[in-house]
Parts: sequence; structure tokens; C-alpha cells
Amino acid sequence: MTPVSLRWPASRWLAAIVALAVAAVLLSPDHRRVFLSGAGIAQGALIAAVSLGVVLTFRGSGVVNLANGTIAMYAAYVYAVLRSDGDLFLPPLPVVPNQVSFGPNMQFWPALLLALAVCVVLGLALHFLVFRPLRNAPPLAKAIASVGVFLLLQAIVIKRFGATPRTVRPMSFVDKSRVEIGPAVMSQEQLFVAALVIVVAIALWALFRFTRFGLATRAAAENERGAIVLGYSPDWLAGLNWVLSTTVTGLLGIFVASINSNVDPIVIPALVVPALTAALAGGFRSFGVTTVAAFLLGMQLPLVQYLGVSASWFPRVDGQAIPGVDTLVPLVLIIALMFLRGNALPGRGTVAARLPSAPEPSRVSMALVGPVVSAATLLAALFWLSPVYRGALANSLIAIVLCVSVVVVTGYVGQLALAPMAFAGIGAYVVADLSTDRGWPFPFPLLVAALVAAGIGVAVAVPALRISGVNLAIVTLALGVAMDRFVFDNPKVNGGLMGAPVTSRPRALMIDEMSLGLAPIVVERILPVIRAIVADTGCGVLLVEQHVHLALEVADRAYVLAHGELVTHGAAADLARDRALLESSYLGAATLDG
Amino acid sequence: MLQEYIGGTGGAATGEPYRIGFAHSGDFFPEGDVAADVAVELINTELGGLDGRPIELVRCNIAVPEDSAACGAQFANDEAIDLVIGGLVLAGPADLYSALAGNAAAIIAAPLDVSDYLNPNAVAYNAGALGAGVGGAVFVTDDLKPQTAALVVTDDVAGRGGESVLRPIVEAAGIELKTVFVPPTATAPEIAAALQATGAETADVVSIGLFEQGCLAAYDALQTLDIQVEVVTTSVCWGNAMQEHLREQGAEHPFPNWNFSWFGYNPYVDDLEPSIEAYLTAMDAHGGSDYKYSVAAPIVFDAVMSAAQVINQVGVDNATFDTLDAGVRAFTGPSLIQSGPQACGIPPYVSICASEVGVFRYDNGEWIPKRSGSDGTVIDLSPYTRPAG
Repeated sequence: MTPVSLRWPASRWLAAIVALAVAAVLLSPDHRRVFLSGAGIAQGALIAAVSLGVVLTFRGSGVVNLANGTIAMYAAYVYAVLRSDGDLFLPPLPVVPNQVSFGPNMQFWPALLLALAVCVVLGLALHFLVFRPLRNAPPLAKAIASVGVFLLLQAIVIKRFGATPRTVRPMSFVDKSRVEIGPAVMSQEQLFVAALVIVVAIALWALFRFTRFGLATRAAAENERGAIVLGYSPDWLAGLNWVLSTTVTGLLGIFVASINSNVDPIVIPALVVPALTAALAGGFRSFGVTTVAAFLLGMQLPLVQYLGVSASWFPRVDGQAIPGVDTLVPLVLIIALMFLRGNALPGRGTVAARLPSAPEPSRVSMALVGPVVSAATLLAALFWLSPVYRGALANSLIAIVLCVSVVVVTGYVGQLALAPMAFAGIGAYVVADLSTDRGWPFPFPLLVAALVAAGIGVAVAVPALRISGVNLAIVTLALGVAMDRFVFDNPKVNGGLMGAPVTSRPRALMIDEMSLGLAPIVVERILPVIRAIVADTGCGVLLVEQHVHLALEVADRAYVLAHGELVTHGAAADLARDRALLESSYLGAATLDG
Repeated sequence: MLQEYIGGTGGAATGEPYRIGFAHSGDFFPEGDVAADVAVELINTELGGLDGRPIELVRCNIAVPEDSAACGAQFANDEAIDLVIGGLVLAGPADLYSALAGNAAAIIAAPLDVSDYLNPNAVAYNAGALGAGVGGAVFVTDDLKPQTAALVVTDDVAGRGGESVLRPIVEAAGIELKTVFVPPTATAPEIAAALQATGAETADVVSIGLFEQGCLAAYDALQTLDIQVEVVTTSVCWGNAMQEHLREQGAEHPFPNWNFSWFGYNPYVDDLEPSIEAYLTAMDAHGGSDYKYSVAAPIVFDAVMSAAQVINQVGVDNATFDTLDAGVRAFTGPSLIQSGPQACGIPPYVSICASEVGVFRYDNGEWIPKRSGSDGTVIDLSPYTRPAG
């Protein structure tokens, strides 16, 4: 008898864990009902629709296409406008008309075929104008280009139609009537799209498994030079795969929009994060595993929502389920997949591995003198400029730091981080919590915040940095989405209704240790705000402050306490002149009467 | 009617234009831009302008939070601008109005989130998202009197803030409320899943506080899941998109059989309030017909008209920040689309000058005024939004 080997590949362990988790869910009747609900299956179909295109693009051209959801959205807009107005809208180009009109109320099939024809053109345009010139560029450059495609297509749609949703006319052969399959209740449309996604996945598998085109594409992916020797043009294959990818993505995108009954520039593109997770689970190769993973990701969503309402153990804030737990699932899976599977994103042999490193300044004047002079000038300007320009300069410096963080990661590590604002946000909220809520003195909140942001960055990035390619871009994209929902939307973090006491025109405002934990320059900016509140609202301010000179500077009257006893009091200006008193007394309180 | 409302002299305005700032998330609500254009064109060509001078609307588009601060700075530094209308500002409205403080009087066309409600630097002449939500909650507790309620609401500052205000009202009435927040980017299946998670299939009342596309998805989900209970929502769900969607679905009627809360009046009934009729007529006559029933158009139109009223009362030659700031705060209403008198500056929601909300039920082709500003049954929000006022 052959002993069972426990030395499975790490990814197989992960698959086993997921299978056990699914089995555990299915054991509970309530959880099974929710997990197998039609809404979850339909959501999985939407994710699969985007993720299949991601895999297809990667297999065909080696591009991790972050714009795939946007391509689906663009195709859906073309279809929706054709159906409703009969207009084929064109991108804003010189001498090209805005649209070609075919008359109102175009029927389903002509609109679908015309929209797919646009997808073919889009695929060719992406290949010849964007990615063919980048054929020998590192994968990171191609991923960055796909971010550019994402922004361009989204901007074209917003420029043309605004960001408001556009109604999508229903398909002609299925509708929203109820279908029950076991515990799953869904509409005909949802069932159709779920089935279509599975059929497309099988068809793509068969295409790549059994046809000459598929075999040639696989050969080129393994070894482009070898493919050339065998008589296949990698360029031609890549172009054809781009057309296939945009057409399949467009087709599914149109049906996704039909399920949603409308299309806007945000919802479908946002599916790219779970879609990348599913593609990662499939190793950017397997259409089957990708599709299964996409369905599982969709089906966990209703379960998370259900548990958020009904499970007492579910983490809560202000009595409500903590937001964004569903967005953590893709993030955790991405990190786990990258950590456990060293080759999360397969490389392609003939392309450069990484972007060129950032050049080191060659002259001492550039390397040392320039930055020192610049920093000194900016620091000095912070004290010389008027408050308005000082604020503008401070904001500019923040933007510079954010840009520099991108340069550091891309130039020195050779990867791309797509969540610099998420890290900035983490730091900002930590500073706010430590200084405002916990009263930590300056500069410790800043230092700790930087450490916390760095720690999260390391925890998220290390699995990606173990391997090459655009892994960090994927994991930081997921992190950005998760942080936005899980942290920044969290009332416990963003303060919820905080601010109400000040803005509801109180008659008295109490400020305890205003300067504690804040940078001097921040304190300096708060003082005029307090004066303005007093001037605008007429409210009195009781300021408890150990920063004696600061307190006496703004106060009308001051009360000096020592060991709980009132030592003296009087006009703040008089006390400020009494240096002996200041030096001998323990100063505990001052007031600013409104 | 509109000439009387703004205190205009009638006829075409001439002379040097008077500049008014208009900050708006036009990418998301293009109909707000259309309504602003209609109002300005009407004032300039037919209503006599501002003491005879035409209005020039200086626009600033707000797409991301940084835009709000930039628009605020732009208007604050423009010495010719003493009054700014904030349309529907989806990103960073507090930065906009903070920048304007002390430089330009400000009218919020659509108070959407908590920072709007509490803003001491601006005023709003309708009850906003806060009023629509609270009004819906009062309608649920006082009229529907369910035992259980399910709420699906957008997970953003407006949704969280609204839920935190209406939850105590509903729970104080002994109603068990289950809420699920969905992201603004939620797909239709996500919204269907949220409805199921709230227990909508067994709840007595389902309440929906979503964007327009969420309304469509909620409608579809309720149909597919065969949930037939009382639905309470806001006017966001009775706009053009819902009507178009139901038409495409082959529904017999243009609206679902839901209860919709708005600012006291119903723009769909035959016996319209004169001010609503004037608005609809103006939109038809000046190219805004396609947008007249949208979310943004009536409130932006109202804000521009009310701004014109304030400026005419102050006198355009006397219009400074101080006089206009005092003028916008002294507004006592009624406004065009909002029923009831208005009083600004009452805490805690100091910017919200209105205190009434109506609820209208659509029932198989017929509008039923459940709580209307036209017949005295309107919901008074004061006990909830002005407890000390």
C-alpha cells in the first residue's frame, strides 16, 4: 500500500482549506440556504465574466489587464446606447463624428452584433496602439498601460454620458421572471448569464486545449522564440487573443449590464478586484479554476451580509456589521495565494523581468545640495508664508511625498503599488486616534502612524515581493479597495457624526489639552480657527492647557490652579507679563471668554 | 408665479451680468446643470433678472473631494462672487463651504450628508436627504405601524448618517429594524443579497435608501423574490430611470406600488401646487423637459430661483457677503418645491431651514397622498430634527 504523502504543494493545501470551509458552510441549513442563493450565484457569474477575460488576455499576450472590467463596461455602454437611441457613439477623435445614427429602438441582435464589432475594433486598437509597442517591455509596464486604458475608457464614457447610470433595455429572450433551482431563487436573466459564463469557460478551455490556435498561443506563452521557429507569429497570436478577449469580455459585460438593468462607469470596473483574485486562483491559466473561484467569491457575499445581520459574533461597530468584510476576502485570498504559491503569476520567458531601476544622481550637487537646499527652502517657507499659501505648500508637500513613494517602489523595487492613498489614509487615521483620542504628545503619533502604515505595507507586500511581476500591483489594488470599505468607511475610524458639537452652535466649547500631541505648526493653525468660532458663534471657550504662553496668548482671562486650588486669576495679558508668577506657579488652566 | 417669487420686474435683463458661483457634481447629476441653465435663462429673458441685470453662473465641477476645496478657493478668491450655490456635491462638501466662510454666502441645493446638515456656513431650503429619511421613518412608525422592518441603504456618509438618525425613531416605536449597508458600487445581485439578509422576505416593511441604480436593482429583486410588502423609499426612486426601467420591463404602470417621501408636494399629480406647476412648465419651455422629474433638477432650479429672490430683496447694488449672508439666513419660505415655512440656524441641523416632508403612495396607476403639504397632513420633522428648537 502506498502511503499518502502529506507533502502537498502549498496551493493544494489552500484549496483543501477552502473546500473544508465550503463544506462547513453547507452543513448548516441556514448558511447553506444563503450560500446557495441566486443572488450569490449571479454575483459569482458577474465576477467570472470579468475574470475570464483577464485570464484570456494574460494567456494570449502576457498582460495583466487591470482594465478588463472597464472594457466590459465600455461594451455595455455601446450596446445600451444602440438599443435605446440607435446611436453608435465613437470616442472623441479629430475629424471623427461623435456618433453614427441607425435610428431609434435598435433590436437586440443587431445591437449585440454591432457592439461586438466595436469590441473587435477595440481589441485591435489595444493591440496595435498600446500593447504591441510594449511587447518587449516588462510586465509591469504593460500593467501600467492597462491602468491607462482603464482611465481612458472610463473618461470617454464619463465625458460623453456623465457618471449617471444608463438604463439597459432587457434582452429579448430572457427576462427577470423567477426561476427556482433547489434553494437558489434567481431571475431568468441571472440564470442565463450564469450558464453562459460556464459555457464560455468550457469553450475557452476547449479552444486552448484542442485547436491549433490554442496550442500555438500556449506555445508562444511558454517560449515565444520557439513559437516563431514553429511558424507562428507571437504578434499575430497576441492580436488575435486581444480581439478574442475584448469580444468575450464585451459579450459578458453586455449581459452583466442587462442583469443590473443599467450601466454606469463605476460598478462593472469595480469587479476587477474579485476578478483578479479568481484569475490568481486559477494561476492566470485555468479557465475552470478561475470560474469556480469567481462563483465562490460571489457566493460568499450574501453569506457575509447574512452573518453581519444575524450572527452575534460578527464584528460590529455602533451596533451595525463592520463594513467591507466582503472586500477583505479577496485581499486575504490574494495574499494567501501569493504567499503559498511562489509562481502566483507565471512569467513569460522573452520579456524583460522588471522596469529599469531609478538612476542615481551622478553629480554631488544633484545628489546632495539640491535636495538639502530644496528642503531648507520649503521648511523656511512654511514659517514665512501667509496661512493660505502655507496651507497650499503643505498640501503640495504631501503630494510630493505620495509621488516619491511611488517612485521608490517602482524605481528601486521594480514593482507598482496602487494604494499610496490607502497607506496615507491609514497613517492619518492613526495620527488622529493617537493624538486626539489618546492624547499622545507630538511627535510620537506621527512616528507610530508611519510605523503602522509601514507594517501594514510590509505585511501586504512581502508575499508579493517574494516573486516577480505585477503581483504588488494586484495586492495593493485589493488593499486599496478593502481599506476604503473596511477602514475608511468604518464609523469607528472616520468618526461618524463627530463634529456635531462644534457645528451646532454651542454656547460653550471646552477644549482639553489642545496642543498635546499636535505639531506646533498645526497648533498654530488651530488658534485662528478657535478665534473664528468665538467671533462667529459668540460661544465661550474653556481651554485647559499646559502650554502656558499659548493659553495666555489667546485667552481673555486666566485662572491658575495648583494642586487643585485656585492660586490666582486675572486678565490673561496681566498674567502673561508676570514672569515670576509664570516661573513659580504650576499653571493648569486658562479661559478665553467669548 | 416665478416672477413674483424672485421679486423680478419682468422682461429681459440687460447690463453687466451678476456673477453667482455654482459648484456641482455635474458628472453624476447632469440634470442639475440643465436645471440651473433653465433657471438662469428664464430669469434673464423673462423675469427681469436681478434688479434688471442678468445672472452669469460661474461653474465649478466637483468630481473628487479635492475639487470641493478648489472650487471653494476659486469662489472665495473671486471678488465678484458673493453668493455660491452648491448643487449636488457628492465629494467633500464641507471643504467647499468652509472655504466660502466669510467670503461668499452659500445655499446648499441638496443637503446630502451630515457635514451638510451641521454646516454653519450655508443654508438649505429643503429638508434634504436627512428629512426624506426621517420623514420615511416617521411614516413607517405612525402610519404603517409594522413589527419588523428591513432597511437596505448605501454605505456612505449619507447612508450611515441617515440610518443613525432614523433608527432611534423606528426602534422607539418598538419596531425591529434590520439594516444592511451596501457599497455605492453594488451590483444588482449584491442588493438582492442585502434584501434577503435583512429578512425582507418576512419583514412587514422594506425601506430602500439607495442611489437610482440601486432602486432599479431593488425593484427587480423584490419582483424576482416575490416580496410583496409595503416599500418606503425616497424620491430618488421615482425619477426618470425608474419610469424607463418599468417601461422596458413591460410593466403596466410607470411606478412601482411604493411609498415615496419628498419635500411635501407630488410633482406627478394632476392638481399640482402652483409652484411645482411653474417649475415643470419652465423646464418644458426651456429645454429641460427630459430632466424635470430627475432628482437634481427641481432642487437646483429651486436653489437658483431662491438665490435670485434673496439678491433682489437685498438689492443687487447692495449685495455683499454680509448682506447676502444675512439674506439667505433670513429666508422664511416657502420655497418652490418645499412645503411649509422655513427657519434657518436652528440646532443641531443648523443649515436645514425646512421642516416638512410628504409621503405619496403609488397604487396601480393612482397617486395617494398619504402625508401631503397640500392638505395639511404633511409630516412635521421638528420634533426629530429640532428637539430644542
